[in-house]
This record gives sequence, structure tokens and C-alpha cells, in this order.
Amino acid sequence: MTSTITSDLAVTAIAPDRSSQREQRGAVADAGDRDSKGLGRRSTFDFVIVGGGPNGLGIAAYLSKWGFSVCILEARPEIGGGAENAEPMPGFSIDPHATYLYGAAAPAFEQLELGHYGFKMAYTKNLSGGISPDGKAFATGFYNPESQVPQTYERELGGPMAEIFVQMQQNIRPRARDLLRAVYYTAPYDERWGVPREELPGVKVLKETSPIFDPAFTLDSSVADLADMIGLPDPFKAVMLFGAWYNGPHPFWKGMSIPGMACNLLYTYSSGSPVGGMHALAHSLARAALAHGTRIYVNAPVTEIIVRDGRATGVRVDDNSVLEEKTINARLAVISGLHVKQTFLDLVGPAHLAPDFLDRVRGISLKGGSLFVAHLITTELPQYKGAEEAFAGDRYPSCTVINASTEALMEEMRDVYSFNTHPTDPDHYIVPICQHDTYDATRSPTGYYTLSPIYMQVPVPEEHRDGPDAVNDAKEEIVDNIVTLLRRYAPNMTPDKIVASFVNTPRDSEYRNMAFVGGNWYGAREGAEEWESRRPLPELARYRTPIDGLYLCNHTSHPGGLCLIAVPYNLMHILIEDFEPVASTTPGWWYPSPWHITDAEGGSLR
Amino acid sequence: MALGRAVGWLRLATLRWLRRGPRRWLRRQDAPVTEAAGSFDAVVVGGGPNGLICAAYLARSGAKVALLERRHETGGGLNTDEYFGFRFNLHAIYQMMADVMPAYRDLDLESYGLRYVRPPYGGAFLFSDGGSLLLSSDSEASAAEIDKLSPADGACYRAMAADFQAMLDGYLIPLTYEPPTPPLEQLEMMERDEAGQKLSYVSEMSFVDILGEYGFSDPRVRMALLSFPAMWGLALDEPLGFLFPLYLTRMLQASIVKGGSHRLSSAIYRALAGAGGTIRDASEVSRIVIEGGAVQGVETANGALYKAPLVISTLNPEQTFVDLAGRENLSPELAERVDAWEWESRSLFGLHLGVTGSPSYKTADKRTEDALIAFMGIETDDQLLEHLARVDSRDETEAAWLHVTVPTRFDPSQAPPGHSVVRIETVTSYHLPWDTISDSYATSCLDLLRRYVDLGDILIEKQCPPTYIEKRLTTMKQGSIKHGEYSPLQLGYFRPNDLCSGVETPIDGLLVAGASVYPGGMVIGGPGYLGAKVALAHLGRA
Repeated sequence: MTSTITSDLAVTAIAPDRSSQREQRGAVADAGDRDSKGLGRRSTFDFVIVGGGPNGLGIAAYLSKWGFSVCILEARPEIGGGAENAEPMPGFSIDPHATYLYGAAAPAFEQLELGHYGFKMAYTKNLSGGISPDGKAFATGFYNPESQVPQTYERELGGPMAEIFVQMQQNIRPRARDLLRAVYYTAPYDERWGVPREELPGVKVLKETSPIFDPAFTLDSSVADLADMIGLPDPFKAVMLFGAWYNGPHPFWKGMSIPGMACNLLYTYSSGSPVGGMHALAHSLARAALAHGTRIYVNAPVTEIIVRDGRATGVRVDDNSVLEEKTINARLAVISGLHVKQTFLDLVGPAHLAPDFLDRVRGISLKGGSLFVAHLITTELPQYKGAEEAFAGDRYPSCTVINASTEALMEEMRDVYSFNTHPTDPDHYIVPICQHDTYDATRSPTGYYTLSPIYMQVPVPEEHRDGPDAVNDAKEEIVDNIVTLLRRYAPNMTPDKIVASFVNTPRDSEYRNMAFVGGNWYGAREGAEEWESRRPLPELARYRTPIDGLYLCNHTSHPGGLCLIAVPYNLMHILIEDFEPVASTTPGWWYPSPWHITDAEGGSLR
Repeated sequence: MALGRAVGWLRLATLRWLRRGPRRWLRRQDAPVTEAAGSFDAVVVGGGPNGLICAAYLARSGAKVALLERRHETGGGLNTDEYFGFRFNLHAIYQMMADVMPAYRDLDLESYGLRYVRPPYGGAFLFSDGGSLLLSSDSEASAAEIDKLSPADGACYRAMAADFQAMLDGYLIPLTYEPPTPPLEQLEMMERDEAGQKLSYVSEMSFVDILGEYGFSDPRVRMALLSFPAMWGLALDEPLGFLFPLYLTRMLQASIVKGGSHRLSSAIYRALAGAGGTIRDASEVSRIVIEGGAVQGVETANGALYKAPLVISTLNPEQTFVDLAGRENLSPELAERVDAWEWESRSLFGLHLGVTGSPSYKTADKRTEDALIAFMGIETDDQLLEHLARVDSRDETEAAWLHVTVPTRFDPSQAPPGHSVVRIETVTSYHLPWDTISDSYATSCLDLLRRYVDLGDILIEKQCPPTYIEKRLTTMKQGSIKHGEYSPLQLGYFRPNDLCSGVETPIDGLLVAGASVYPGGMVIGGPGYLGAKVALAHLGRA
């Protein structure tokens, strides 16, 4: 469509720009902040960040706090990426994508003072629970000290395996933050340094916590192997495997036991959501960035990363963007918050890249778990049959996994991976019924509840045996199946209790947010070949790229998605290595990962 | 991808939700413990355009200010929802004071990414015989268009447009951003020149009377000129004449915000955050704390206490004074005035469509497609008056008069490539059984639209009956357009009442600065600006 438009209104005067922060920044930041057009339209920044999701916002907040001039260019009308809230009916806030905070271990909360910029946690009273088809129910309690609920499942387990499991929990808990920071909040080591796998930070910290995490076992086992070693029965085992799969790591693939366990730990360590929903995390990051002078432009899709003489010098924005300036210059670097394939194949383009590198980028698979997400508005909370005692009072879980059996999980995986279809038999569904109303009053109006999100894994659209639109065509059928299954576990959920339902399929998610290729939320396959120092490719693991002045800051880099604010923190280590010489200040508030190895140090290890 | 298949997520199976009837719309309050959230120089209640503007001015002056918003997103009526790349502006869209509101320059909003786009024509009136009338901000060009229908009316338009421009330049625009003056002083002031005297003269007239005064006779032309005040639900036969120059001349110059209306609010948000202001969303204020007759701060429904000697409420008078301040803190005079507040007799039904291709208007003159608003369904002033009478008698259950905007015509970024957004609005009554008639009413809108417009496939449809707006934006009671009726007793010095129209209220430390306060709503940025001025004087930062 073309349009025959129109004149922008003329601007005749402007107020003076706030310059106090820029004044402190020294030469790098100050020169030419305003181009010849003036009028408050700036087209040159120290750092230009493509994409305003949690990673783009996070690195913008870090860099502007450090003293650099920064701009974010976001294609959509609102910042936040997957940290999004929608109000499909007045008064109801749903999370179309990310729903719980996983990033409580992030140094960013302290370093960027996110609390000062409005971040506020709502802690669950009881984080999660599960019910198996044979009516066994358990509630997990949670890690936060405010919890009134003890970790009940430890005593409910019983039997000979309880001792190992309880011991493991007790050992990990005091080291949980250390462990998460070792696994997620450390830039991956370059494989060429030859650091032995047993010496990797996460492996070391795990071993320190508990003898059962011997590297000889953990490095080669799957999450299922780990559960079996402990002797974990269903429904506990099913929920552990499910927790891994729905957050990325494949529960049955070798080498994924540490990532699979760690992502469960991320969830329990955080134990809640930001008040109002995940978008509030994006808001607090955006406010921190804005307060330090970052400029954020939305409706400004980037169409090209400009490369001159092997160096990224800026970006071009789409003709339809709000900005008159179609070229935004980067004095120091362009940081891409888009996924790795988009960054190189679409924005940089083949002319600037070696053919073998391009082949490797093309070969990266982003076909991980594609999620079908349903949301139900109801007039009652589900009352789970047989769980009256386990879920009594404050033990009522925020996330209840129904049909929690390893068998159902394997049936679902068989449907998805072997038969390339979405499960059609409710017995093949293992679904989490999430709700935030029991601990955050802002989500639904009085008398109503929002069961959101309810996830189910389905095939990658292109691989569905009935064609890429099959899941979209089956929306209503899948929701009906979920509701049928829910009613089996909670007979009070009769049709009259359900006011409305909403769905986003993988296709819908991808359409809303281009980073979620095929509805994949964490930017990679679930296997060890795309984890840590091999993510997304060995030569890209440290966030640098073959193009000088171009860095990656997206969930296709380690440690992936989940709104952890980990990629920005890890990337900061690299940017400090590269840009400290031109910075006019040293960030006194910054502390690096204790496990960080600089490139200079790493090189000497070879 | 097949966009058509993607858009089904709005499986809004039922409107039962809207059927639940009026209920107290406060959130669950299960956080009894009040925790201190800090001390501020001023707290602004409500994150709509006026609240954001007011807070941004305060923050830029160096004041420690907190803005509290109930929803998870600020912006109030500046609301842009995205559905699969289609951007629906669910409430405000037309910016008639875009470039003249002081905040635009003072807050340097352009540097925060705000861009307006102004269509070549302000209004197109589509007739069923394929004819049309096009009006633009160029009054001579508009007069020449009117000449084609009626040369006599063209001459009338030239005379009226010249007068209106003088009234705007000399009085109406500058006064919008000055504190209100009592009626007698205002009359005296307007005696000083001819434009003022004419404004004074027409002020006592109705819109219909003014057309008679200038001698308009062609029913189509009269319908067209009355459409601009009528589309906002204003009474055409009330003495509101001083609004005519604003609503006609400024609406013909109206713009839309590139990227959607929400971009205006987020530019102000960025100016506020960039100036060090505190913004808290998902923070519904439940009480304005008043002790010893003076404001101490506010409490939120989730149990936080924001201490401040100055509270600026941008909510409607019922919310501010009854729900939050509490009757026990109102003098009898103030209580009487608050209780007398009148909601609007008319509301809007909105129908937002995502369609393939670009709509084509069935008029001989294709320039109609370049008009910001296309009016259709009613072709004479008598029909218009009859239609409004039916709306007021609450038996208008099928759409008869549409005003239609295709924002993607002027800003393609609001839809996926090759697609368009069509925004249809009708003036209607809040007091209809919307839970049962919304679907059939929407169908009647589409039937009427298709008589005048060739439309591609509809991929997504969103209905916003008055009940929807009321629930989503709780200040907009009864699907309000402007926080309360525009009537002579609720305008100017009397908005919201003679005790509070100057921002100050009888309660020490409580200021009001929303659309229910002089100079009113429609995203003109007046109340927030004037509120900031008074607040700054309180803080000794004028």
C-alpha cells in the first residue's frame, strides 16, 4: 500500500535539552549530539541498540549509566519484547509471553537500582504444585524468606529417596544465587582456551554444594537421569522434567542435566512476578535507561546495519518509521537485540561476511519448543479434587501442573517430535495452570480470575504434519481439550465459570514478536550443542562478531531467554574490555562476575 | 504468513463480561499493610495525558514528583493496542491542538520521538449519489468546494472562517492555556476588539443559530459544518457557540500521531522519566490522605503510602472528591457541586477493523480518501438533528451515522504491509443494552460502511461500546468522551465548578488537573499544563 501523504507539522522552537548527564561524559559523548537539523532530532549516539526487549533495554541502561549516549530503536509500538502485558478485556492483565520473574539472581537489580525505577516484586504465597492422574498432589512452597509455607514436599516425599532429595535441596539453597550466577551470569569461555569442562563455573559450584553432582555424572546425564538417580517419583519427577522442557532444556537429552536443573532453580529462586505483570520489568529497565539519558524510539524498525570497511557505523531505519532521519550513526558500536540469523542474514547482509561464516549462521536452528498459550478469564479459581489438604490456604499454588505424569509428558513429546502434531488426546497433555491473582491484586477485577498463561508445547509450525497453520486452525479444539482436562481435575470449572478465553499460538507469538521464531521462546534448540560457549556459534559466544563494532545482545546468545537480564550483564564484561579506554568514567557501581575471564587472560590459558 | 489465520486469538466468545452490570470497579484489596513508598514534593494521580504533562513539568523544574497509574500502562485515553501488527487507537486519535499545546515545545517532545502527520483534508462528507464535500484547513479551498454545492453558502463560509480564525488567534487558543476568568471579566475583556465582540456575541448562541446568523442555507453544507461538534456528542442547540471556532477550524487542522496515539503519551513519559520523575504503574490510588484539612499524601490499593503536601488529581470529580478524598473532607458547598456533576448524554461506539488492502470510497472525487475523517450515513442537517434526538431518546439501536478514519492511509506503520486499519465511530447512548446489542450494532455499522466504501477482507474486528471504555478507562464514566458533559454550566470558569476550575480546590494541598477541569478534554493538554503552573507556584518554583 502506498499513501499520498502529507506534511509533518513544523516545529518552531524547542526547550533546552537536559544536559547535566551528558556534561559528565567527556569528549566521546558530547561531540555532535545534535546534527545540523537541530530541533532535538539526534542522529548520532555512542551506542545504537537495535530492539527494545529486556536485553536491549538492559544494555542501554548499563551503558547510559556508565556515561555513554545511547539510543534504542524498536520496531513495535511499545518497548518490552517478550516482557509484555496485554489487556484483552478491560481490567484484566495477561502475560502473552514471559510470565514469572526468573532473573532474581541478576546483578542488574542492584547495579541499575531497578527498585528505584519502580520494580516491585509480588512474591507468591506458594509457587507451584502438581497433581498426577492418580490423584497425588503436592505443593512446593518457595524460596523467598517471606514465605509462610514450608517446603512441604520434602516431608511428603517419604521413602528411601527422600533423604537424598532433602539433602540436595538443603545444600543448594544457601548457594542458589552463586550457582545461578555461575551458570547464567558469566560470559561463556571461549572454547579455544581449552578450559576443561569440569572447571566450568556452574559445574564447580554444583559439585561444591553436593557430592551427588559429580561432574562425571552431571556433564553427560539428562534431567531424567538426574531424577532417576535421586529416585524421584511422579508427580515430582514429571514436574521437574516438565519445568526443564518448558524453559528450554530437553529433559531426556544427554548433557542437559545442569541447564535443566538450573532453570527450575531460576524459577524457584525468584518465586513470583513483578507487581502488575512482566511488562513492569521492562518499564523499570526503560526508566533506568531514560533517567541516564537513553533515547528510546519506537515504531522505528531497523532495516540495515551499516558496515563500512568491516566496521558497523550505524543503522538504517525503515521508511515508515517515525524518524525523519533514516540513518542513525553509532560512534562506538551497534548492539543487536535481534536474533542471530536476523542480525547477520537480514541486517548486515552477505556482502560483509565470509561465506563459511554465513553458512554456519544459516545452519543455526531456532526450532526449539513452540508454545501454544491459552488464557482463561473465570469467576472462580479451580478447586482441585483430592488436593484439598495439599493446596489448603496459602498453599494454593500460583502454577499448578495438572496431569503431572512422566507418561503424559512422554506422550506429549511423542506427538510433538515423533508424529509432528499437536496432542489431540487430553491424556497426552501435561499443562501448567498459572494464576497470579492469589498474590497480586492488580491482575483482575474483584470477583474474577485470570488463569494465564496455560502452556502447551506443539510442533514448530513448518514441521507440523498438517501444515504450518494446523495449530491455528485447531485453536478452539485445543482450548476445549485443555478445559476438559482442567474440569477433570477441578470439577468446579464448569462452562458458566469461564467468561472468555484467549489464545496465542506459536504463529501468533512470532507475528507479535519477530524474535520468537516459530513461537520458540528461548532462541535455540534444546540441546547441549547450542548451550553456553557454543551458543549461537563458538565464534559468537562472547557476544562479539566478525564485524568490528557489532555486538549481540539477544536470547540467541548465552544464556538465552527468560528475561534474565543476563545477556546485558555478560555483554557488559566484554564492552568494558573493549571500551574502557575511551570511557571518561569508571563505573563505580559495577562488579564483574567472579568467574569472568578476560580475553587476555583466556588467551594465556591456551 | 497467513495473517488471516493468526488473528483469531481474540476469541472473545462472549460479551458476558460486559453484562455483569455496574459494579464498584476497585481492585481486590487484600494488602492491608501500608508501607511507606517515600516522600515527594507532589504526587500526581492518574497517568493520562494531563497527569503526564503535569508531572513532567514538575520533574523538569527539579521537584520530586511521583505519578501513580492504575493500569499497567500509562497514557489514559491515548491508548494504542496492537493486534498482530494492526494498531487500534481505542479512544483518542484526533489531535486538534497537536502543535499549539505548550507541552509540545516545553517538553521537547519531538526529541522523544513524537511525530504528527496531518492529512491534506480534515473532513470528507460522502453522499449516497457519489457526490462529496471536502473541507480542509485552507478556508478558501473549502469555500471553493462549498461553492460547488451552493455558491451562497460558499460566501457565508468565507465570512465565518475569517471571523473564526480571528477568534481563535485573539482569544480561544491563548485562553486555552491561561487560567479561567470569571464570566463578567471575560465579557469585559472581549469588548476590547472586534474579534472579541463577535466571539462574545456567538458565545450565547447554539451551533445551529450560528449557521443561521451567517446565512447558511444548503442542508448538506449545514450538516457538514454541524458534524464536527456533533461527532463529539455536543448538543447542537445549546448555547455553546464559543466552541464552534475550536471544533470546526481546529478539527480541520487535526493530526494523528505517527505510530498511534499512545506515542504522544509515551513521549511525555520519556520526558518525565528522563527528568528524574518517579512513575509507578499498577498503582491504583485508593485514598487521598487528608489530616487537619490538609493533604498529606495518597495511599494505593496495594498498600503503599506516598507522602506529599501536594496531590494533583487528574481523575473525574466523583473519583477525586468522593472516592478518594472522602465526603467527610468536603465542605457542603463543594459536596453540592460535586454531586451536581453531569456525565455526558452521548457516548461513542467504536469499531476497529484490520482489513486487507486499502478501503476505497465510492465517490466520484477520490480525494475524499485523503481526508482524516469521512462522514457518511446522514446527508442533511435535519437528518442529523433527528438522529441525535433518537440517540438521546435511547432507541437508536442501529448505526445511522458514521465517522470513519483510515489512519494507515497517512501512517502505513499502523498495519502490516498491504493491510489497513479502519476506525469507525458513531455517536450513541451509553444507556443501551450493549451486552446484547453490540454484535448487531457492529453489523449495522459495517452494512452502512459498505454502502459508501469498498472494503477488503476483514481479518480482525474489535468492538468498543461505551461500556467497554468505561471499564477500561475508569475515569471515563458512562463511556465518557471528555470526563463529563460540555454544557454551559460545566465549561470555562465552571469546569468542574466555580470552586475548582482554577486548579486549586477548597482542600489545602489538593489540586485538580484532568479533563474535567478547565479547559477540558480532547487531549488539548490544557489542564495538565495549568495544573503544573499552579503546583509550581505552591512549590515556590514558578
